Amino acid sequence: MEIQSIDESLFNKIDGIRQIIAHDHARRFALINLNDIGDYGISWRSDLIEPIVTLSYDQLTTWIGVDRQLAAIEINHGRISVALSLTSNIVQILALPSLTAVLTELEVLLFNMDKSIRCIKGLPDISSQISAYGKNLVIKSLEGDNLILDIETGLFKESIITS
Amino acid sequence: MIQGNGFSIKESKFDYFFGRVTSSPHNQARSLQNLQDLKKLGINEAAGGRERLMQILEDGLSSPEVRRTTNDYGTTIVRQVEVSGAEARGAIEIFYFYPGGSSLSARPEISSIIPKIYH
Repeated sequence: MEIQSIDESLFNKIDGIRQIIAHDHARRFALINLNDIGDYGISWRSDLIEPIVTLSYDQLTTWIGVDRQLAAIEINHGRISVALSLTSNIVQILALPSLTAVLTELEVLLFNMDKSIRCIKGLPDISSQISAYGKNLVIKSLEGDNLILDIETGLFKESIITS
Repeated sequence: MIQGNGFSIKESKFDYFFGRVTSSPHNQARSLQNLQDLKKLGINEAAGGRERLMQILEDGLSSPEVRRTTNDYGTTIVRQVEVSGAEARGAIEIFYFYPGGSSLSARPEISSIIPKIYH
């Protein structure tokens, strides 16, 4: 998979259906090549931020996120199964055997393997990192606090723990 | 916690807004992006930028709402303030968080911002 920077005029020539991520007031533009299914265009605002590209655990879906938008493309036939505006900037995408977790500054979104939404959980502060420990997700905040989310129930298991 | 006029904000948020967060490569890049975009909008911490930002956060309380989310912790209303600097024109989206159980007329806390640079 390649990400190739392009200019705005070239981005604007891409079919709208293939502009899978398009921000208003974008300053950066790129093509993502997914081999047999061709190129997709993305545009975003933050010149210091690179898109996050993560393959699902079953390797059937490519997840792409940058700034406030998220997309998922099914690799075998090119179908766009998720195209979503987020409420705050994306921080990390974590692919696990049973789900894909998308961490934004102020939310975590859990997607089932069929790309349906399992749950969306608000966070009490700006997040920094998400990691998996068994059946739990640990979400670390910029302040250094940890939240533990049970991925089976979608509930926070414990109150905030200061690391 | 810093008390602004009609809102409050944690001191540590200014580290995120002005480029001092290094907790992860992505957070560091985002923090530096905030710093760069705020500078383009004329908000330079070394030149009174924190005071200017505090004024913008106050102005935002009466600015148009662009989106709203509610979760277990409370309600966040995002409002957008148009901002012009010497280098660029743009806007700042401001996240006003109202803790659960409080009314929306209560004093919100700033949870994040997103600076946007226009062409």
